Amino acid sequence: MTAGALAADLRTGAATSRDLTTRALDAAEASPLGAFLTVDREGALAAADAADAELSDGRDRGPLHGLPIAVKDNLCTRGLRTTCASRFLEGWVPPYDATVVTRLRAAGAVIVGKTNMDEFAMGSSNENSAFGPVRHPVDPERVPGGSSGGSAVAVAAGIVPLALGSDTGGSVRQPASLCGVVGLRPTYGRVSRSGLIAFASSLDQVGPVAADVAGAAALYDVVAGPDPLDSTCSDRPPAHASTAAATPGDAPVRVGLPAQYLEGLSGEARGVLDAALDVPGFEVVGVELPHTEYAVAAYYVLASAEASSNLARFDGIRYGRRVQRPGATLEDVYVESRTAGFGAEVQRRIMLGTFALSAGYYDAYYGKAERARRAVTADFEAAFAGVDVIASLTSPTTAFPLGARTADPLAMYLSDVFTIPASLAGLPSISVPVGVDGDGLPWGLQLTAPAFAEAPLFAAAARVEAAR
Amino acid sequence: MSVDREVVRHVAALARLRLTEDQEAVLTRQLADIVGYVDVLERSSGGDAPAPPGASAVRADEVVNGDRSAELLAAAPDRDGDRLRVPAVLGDPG
Repeated sequence: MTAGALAADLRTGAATSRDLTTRALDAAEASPLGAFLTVDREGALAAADAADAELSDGRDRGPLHGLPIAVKDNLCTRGLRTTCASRFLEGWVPPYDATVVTRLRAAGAVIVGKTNMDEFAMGSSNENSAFGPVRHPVDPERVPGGSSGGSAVAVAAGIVPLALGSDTGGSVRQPASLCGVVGLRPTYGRVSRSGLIAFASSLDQVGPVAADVAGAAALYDVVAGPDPLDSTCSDRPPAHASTAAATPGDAPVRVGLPAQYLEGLSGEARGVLDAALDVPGFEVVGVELPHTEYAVAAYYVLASAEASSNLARFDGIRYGRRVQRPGATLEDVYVESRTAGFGAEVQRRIMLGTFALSAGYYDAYYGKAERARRAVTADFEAAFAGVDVIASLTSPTTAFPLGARTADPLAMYLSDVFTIPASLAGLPSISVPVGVDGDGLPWGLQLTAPAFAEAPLFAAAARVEAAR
Repeated sequence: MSVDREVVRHVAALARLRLTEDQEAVLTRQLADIVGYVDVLERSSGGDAPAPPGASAVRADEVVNGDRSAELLAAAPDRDGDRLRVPAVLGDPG
């Protein structure tokens, strides 16, 4: 069920937006996979009816008009509960829409609900949601990846053709890979974060999840571009990704395969990678990203440091959960509200980040991590002098069993070893499904391009998809 | 660099989190593992490369999204009219 096929049905009269939306709402409510935290039947049906009325009046808002879409629950939706999968925000109703949500509504898309996620987007398995895990659509005893696990499953299970997620260290690409759908992390500054609840501000990006490359490009085209409400959003006008995805051409593409990403890869994984890159016109060459070994460590220091600072705003005073016992001081309210409101992984990241920023440790950890980040970025710049895109698997493994990595945070963090470097460097990076393992669990190919090169990245991804 | 119980207690106080004895023990072990891994950065030679990409667009300092005070106040856990109510900051909490 691709966005393109459904959009065609709407225009031939084979279906109405109300039909598609009702089907999506029913599927979201009936699904046992835990992909949704909130389903907005009333709001969605009203939007669907408005979309149908416009189409019959000849007013067509474009490729997303009338299509059901799911939105990760860390994106603010005016009047619709937004929890970040946290007890802290369990009953919070935002007074405004995120800019990307405003753009979805303006494009005629129908928001059917809010998707489950790791609490505050911290996790790689979706097991850190305060409201229960998301389960893998192929094997419900396995994880879908995270933190945008609900968005990936909503698309992979065929509930919606499109969803929005967010990617800090791989949170769109890794679940897209594990679930067999397409997921893009755009260039840092390409998509507005106004209304995205902040985790790590130097890394967070909103990105599309879709059943195919064309769908991801259509959604990207709607959300990308300047926004006066986000000072980190670039003023550069975006190139049209849908055109690039629809007409990828057959010009030669130089694909760099980093030696450092091949170390320790299983034979099966290496076979999947080589087969995925067997695309007409692709010329695969070796490249070096020598600082890769520092990327995961640098990421967890920087992201946790930024999280400890961003999450200081959750104090139980202005919004969200407050715990106040009789006789409590203001300080007690802060401590009790945060202790009761944040789950174990969020507390662990806040602790790690506070440690890295504290007197005596700042230079040893935060300072060194900043320098390592620059070295990782410089590696990419040097490599892109000789190649158009850099390829790897998105995840070193397919979906792993629920509970397999929960007792060992470090093992969980290493799930992101291939996605983190592009995040640190602020580069656009896409995961495209490239087959399944012996248990039917999907593999994903990750392609990374220079900053603001989303259009050629989508073109290359479309060629990988077409070659399968 | 080592993470021990005393460091964990100090960091928890800075982070405004209260840990049980058990949580303190688990976090001491887990943070020691993570910090031990992060010590790989000691070997990193990264240094003077250019800063990571980042745009910063500044708009005119004008109110464009209207008066949202009623909606914002409605989200507060406890208030008195247009004021947020909190426990006493100074003196006896009572």
